[in-house]
Amino acid sequence: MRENKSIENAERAEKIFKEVRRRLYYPPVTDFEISEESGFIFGRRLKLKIGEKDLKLPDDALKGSIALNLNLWASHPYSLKTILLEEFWLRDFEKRSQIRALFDEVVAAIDLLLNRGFDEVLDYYRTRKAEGKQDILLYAFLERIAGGEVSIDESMERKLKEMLEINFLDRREMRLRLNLLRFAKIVDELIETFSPKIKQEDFGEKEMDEALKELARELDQSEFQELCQLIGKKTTGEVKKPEKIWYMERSRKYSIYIQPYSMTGSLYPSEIREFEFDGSVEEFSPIDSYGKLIPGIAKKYAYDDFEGRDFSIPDAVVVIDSSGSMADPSKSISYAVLGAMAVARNYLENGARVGVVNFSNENISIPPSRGERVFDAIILYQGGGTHLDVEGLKNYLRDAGGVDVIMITDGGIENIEEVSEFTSQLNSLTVIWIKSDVSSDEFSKRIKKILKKNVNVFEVKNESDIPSIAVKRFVEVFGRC
Amino acid sequence: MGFREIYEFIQMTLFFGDETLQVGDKKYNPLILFTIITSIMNGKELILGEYGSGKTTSAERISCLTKYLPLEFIQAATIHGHPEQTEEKIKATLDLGALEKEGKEVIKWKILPFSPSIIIDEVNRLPVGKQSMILNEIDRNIWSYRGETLIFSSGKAFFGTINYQDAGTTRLIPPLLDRFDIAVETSILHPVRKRLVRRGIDDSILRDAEFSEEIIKYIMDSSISERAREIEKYISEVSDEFRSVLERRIREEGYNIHLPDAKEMERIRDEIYSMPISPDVELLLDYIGQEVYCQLGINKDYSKCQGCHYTNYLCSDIFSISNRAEKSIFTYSKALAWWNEDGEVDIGHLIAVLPFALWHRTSISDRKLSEVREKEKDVSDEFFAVDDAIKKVKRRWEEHRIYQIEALNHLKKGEYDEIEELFSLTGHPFFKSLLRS
Repeated sequence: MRENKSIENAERAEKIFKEVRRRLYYPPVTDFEISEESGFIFGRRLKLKIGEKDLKLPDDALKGSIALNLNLWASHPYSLKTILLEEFWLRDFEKRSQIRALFDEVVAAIDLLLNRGFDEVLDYYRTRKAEGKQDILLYAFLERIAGGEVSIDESMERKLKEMLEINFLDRREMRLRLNLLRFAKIVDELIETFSPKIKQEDFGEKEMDEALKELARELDQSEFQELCQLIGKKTTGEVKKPEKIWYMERSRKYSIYIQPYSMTGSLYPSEIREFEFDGSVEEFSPIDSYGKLIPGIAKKYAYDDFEGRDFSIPDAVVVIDSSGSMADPSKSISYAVLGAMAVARNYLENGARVGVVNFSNENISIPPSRGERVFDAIILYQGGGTHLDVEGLKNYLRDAGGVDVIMITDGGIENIEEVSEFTSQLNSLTVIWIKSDVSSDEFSKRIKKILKKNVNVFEVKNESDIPSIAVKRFVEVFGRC
Repeated sequence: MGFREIYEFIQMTLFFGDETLQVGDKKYNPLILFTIITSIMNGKELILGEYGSGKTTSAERISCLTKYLPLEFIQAATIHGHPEQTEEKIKATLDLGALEKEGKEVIKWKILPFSPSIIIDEVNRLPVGKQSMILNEIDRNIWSYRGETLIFSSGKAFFGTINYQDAGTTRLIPPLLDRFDIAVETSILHPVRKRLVRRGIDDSILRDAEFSEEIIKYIMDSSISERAREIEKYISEVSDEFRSVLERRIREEGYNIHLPDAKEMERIRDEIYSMPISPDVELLLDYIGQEVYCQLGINKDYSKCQGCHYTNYLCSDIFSISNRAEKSIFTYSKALAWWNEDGEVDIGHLIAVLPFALWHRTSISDRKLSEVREKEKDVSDEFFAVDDAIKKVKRRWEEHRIYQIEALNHLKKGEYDEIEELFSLTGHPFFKSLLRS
């Protein structure tokens, strides 16, 4: 008997779940299971838990409950990124997780009511048992939105009026933030302890990494660091190297043009084409022409560079100045680091390796390689004097072989004469001159000393100059040393 | 209807792959499903994958089961892309005997123009000019050589396979890629399916060497332009004959599958074409269509995206959606709705088709590719990037759908000020586009 009941329940839940999914345009929650409490199962695939209590609700109320849960992933908050951002905005509120969860529920519910005509959500609120003052306010609010009335006490009525002034459906980032803060002030004192359905802690390390990367692309450096600290306090571990994540993600915005090698060697027969009257007899292919010289039948070889020609990107070495005159990447935005990361990432994404020579008091270098260590070496800040160990660099480049060299500096190199003499011997050099870090005219004078025929200089005063960086070569591949 | 059972049969016995395509509440193996649909609709499909991942095999086997011709015949009609392919090797040649002895130009057509399913293996290894020639002729099913022309009434399905870029491959140029309705990748295999593949797949059910030789001989003996209709009729007859053979063989394997005949196929195509479209599908397509346009000028260039107000929209992720692409999206969405036995084309069908119809034919911005390249996935970066971009548009659309309906109502009444207000509220190009007079 009991078994029959649970089969019946499962079938009913499945039918309703499918209907709600279709009406909500197939949100990413593709499966469900019946459980003691309602909520979600996080993991590779997001699954809805339909609580046994909810199964006792009439059909329409159950539809409303499922729709509300699914709409959290179809409409708002939609992703962990939004959850983190919202809790970051609420950082001054102790009950920020609860406020955030309640706010998200309000947005999802209003969206259902007003945007999607999903009136069953009201049936859910009408039948569920309120578990705190916040639930009473929320129910009254939704009834009022739908044109109904619920009698509440005067202080609640005041709060309700304030809530009605918020346009919860305006989710442009600026508005969302203001709405959330206004809402927080209204409900803060009302909120009694409850456990949000979606919590930061429910997500795995991978999801957290992805969300942080997305946020790094949107927030400025200091905000991002602050957000990482906040997450660190809440989750098991600290966010490692937030400044590195920020620079790495920010650098994804920029594509650097890297001129590929072109081959200008001999030509080889590559394709059979129609033989034309003005064609050279040497190109005529008697076999493919069936031995005939008839228009349309006669064929010739077309010549081209041989198959498998190399359009690959070579390895690169980033020579980056991390002296005291350069911006410290952990304290303020460093265009040197951002530019270097953009250059390195573009080489790495094209399959090349990147070496780094980080110079200040000494040259700290890693050989051309792939992976995280490249970015670690770029972001390393020595903060000392500006002396480039030319002998060391010479040896390094000799070992590295034919590589592109990209130097990033503000120009304040103390031994500029020696550096200039060495760089003039290179086939080509790209210099990214961080003008924003130039603190005296002397630096400008020094940078001019390395300007030779083989050197391409790009001036970076702010972030918008980064996309103009291009790595060009001055010799063809066969002309390389 | 036989094709759903054919799908099951292929998935169980002839070509293994994971069911990663979600259409509404159902899941399918995208390669098998789209290849069957392409066969039914006589569309064009590009199959991408690594060496030996089953690109050509899948197209050949599925073609046998949908066009009812022996595997050896389909294989004989398959063209292998390489730079030295010529029209004479692919399409037709002069009868050299007649030319030598009688001085007459008699054109002898090859098997290809008569085959109802054309497969070009490694289509990207054909030089661009030849890719273009073949695709043009398949598109129209009109074949020309030295002044003679064959015009066929029945359609053809076309499959091009392609290895991921490596040395020696020519890139397919965008106008050619745009000819392919859909592009599917061979998937990563589940370990259990891998085991089955290791043991070898018995495709003898599809083979008939003698029958294939007979068909090829018939075509070769009579392959002059004047007898083209006769050959076309012959192919249709032998196909019907082999259909019964296949049905019997499949039955012997324990599957009771009815293979639709030519008339039933026609009816299926009609059913698909007449599948109703839900208004939401039109709304979402309108929305996407406007979002992909560059708002900073018709000559689109991703470098303009830096600092642009619309930088988070689809326009900064993918280059364009051509008219051909919209047509493919429509046709394949209808086919998916028909396949699922749903009453109309809804958002679920559309969202399932969109990435498959777009990822091969549009360039994706470096920024978008960079965003997704380090994410875990079991599809290519390009496919994932387009899929991700589409999901984000869908979410925006769900937010703006109600305003979109409102704006269209205002448009009917000529209330442009109200549309202007909706544009300033949403900031979305769709609303701006309604203000263009």
